[in-house]
Amino acid sequence: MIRAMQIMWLLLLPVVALSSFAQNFPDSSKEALNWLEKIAAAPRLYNYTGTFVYYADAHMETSHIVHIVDTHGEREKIEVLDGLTRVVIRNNDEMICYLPESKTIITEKRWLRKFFPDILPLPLVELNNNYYVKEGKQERVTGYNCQIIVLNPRDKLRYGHKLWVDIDTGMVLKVAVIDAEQVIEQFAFSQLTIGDEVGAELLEHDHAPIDKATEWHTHNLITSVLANETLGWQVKNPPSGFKKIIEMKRNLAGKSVLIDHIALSDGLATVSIFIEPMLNNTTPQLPGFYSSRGAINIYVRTLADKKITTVGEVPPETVKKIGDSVFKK
Amino acid sequence: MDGELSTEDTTDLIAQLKKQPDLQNDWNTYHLIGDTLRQSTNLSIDISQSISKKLATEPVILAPQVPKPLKHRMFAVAIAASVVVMVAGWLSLQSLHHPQAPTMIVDRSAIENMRQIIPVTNTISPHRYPLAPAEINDYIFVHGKFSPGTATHELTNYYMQPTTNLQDPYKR
Repeated sequence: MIRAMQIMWLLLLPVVALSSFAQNFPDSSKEALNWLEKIAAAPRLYNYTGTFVYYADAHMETSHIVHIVDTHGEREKIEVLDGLTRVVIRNNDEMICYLPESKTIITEKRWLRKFFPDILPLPLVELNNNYYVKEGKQERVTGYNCQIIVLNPRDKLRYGHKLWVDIDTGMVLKVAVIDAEQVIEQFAFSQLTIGDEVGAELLEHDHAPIDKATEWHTHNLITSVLANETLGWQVKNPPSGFKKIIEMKRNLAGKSVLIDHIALSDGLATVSIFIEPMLNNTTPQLPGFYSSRGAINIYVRTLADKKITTVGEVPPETVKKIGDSVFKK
Repeated sequence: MDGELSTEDTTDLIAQLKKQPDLQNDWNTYHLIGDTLRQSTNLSIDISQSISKKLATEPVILAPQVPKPLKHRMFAVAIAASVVVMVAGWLSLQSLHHPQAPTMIVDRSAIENMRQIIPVTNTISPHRYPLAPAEINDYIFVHGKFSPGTATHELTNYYMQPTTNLQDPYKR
């Protein structure tokens, strides 16, 4: 029996090893990592206006972006041009989102979100540990000569990324998120002007319909960032390379209680964990996996009387591992 | 299982596996676990034993049987495959034309059923798992605060509900 157990361990070892299998990529070259620094800096250096396309699951969506950097800081306006109107205006950390069809305004004062093409908001230290970054060939995108930068995941816990970077400015003009050679999500500029003076009037939104109507709803998203380990939850042994970057309490529209929110990152991909009580008067979310568009995966589980929703641009197995790593202190 | 074992070890292990039925059972179980984890549609279920038992209890028909020409069998297989493809295609279209309703199922028995249904839908749906109900878009939107790249599409479903259904719990 002991012999049988030993053999089973021998058989099982490669399976266990595979799950955390680190591909033997060398260290990323300094040149490749320098590109990432250039990419991270670009949105804070240049004005730009352009039109970009998002494509995933046979769904395409076009948006227009105006981005201004000046003495007021960083300001931008993104308007989704396809389907229902959505306009997001960001003034440094403040965000206002207008949804005219439902007469809804969403605001947040401490909005840290970065929109495409500003895709590398976090320090680059962790990146090399989790991804092998290398320079690819050069290609033209929307009239700009671009250097392709490939981020190969070092294990199966995360997706690969391919970035087309404008050689002169470091602006990312195209991004492909890749799962085992298959592109699952893509952003690309179809038209872009970098560096010209952009009039601040382009950032303004037509408030006339809002002023005239009274039935607009405003949802103020409020977050309260907490010191590390303040929440009553512990993320024990998360998947390799993922580290907690923030914990907070936040509100969500339609929820009568504040929700605990913990975010983890591997330097590029991020995963959010939302923990909330299951209220008697609400319909319970079915536990299990859910898909969204593109690279997003969702895993819902319950722990005692709490519901834990884990969301991230990582493979389903990783979302599950992170969701399952939450324990009560 | 994954080609990682050296040739010498493999030969030795396979020899032992052939001798010991317990090990064979374990081997099958691990393959089944692996297939399930990978969401494989071809589960390594060993049905040989159960079929043997069934066969043993089947009455033996002694009438002579004329073997069907291979061509006919191939044709039958092709027809069966086409039917499977058509049914799968139709089911996919059904799921596309009837996207998951935002209302949730409360019945506990339905939860159990759902758990069983999930692996089946993997083969016919363009998504690996059921599409997220509309309320999850709100989580995805605020998750995006830390997550670069994604556009604003997550907002649409949730906030496009009729305004009468929207309740702002923070409104005073």
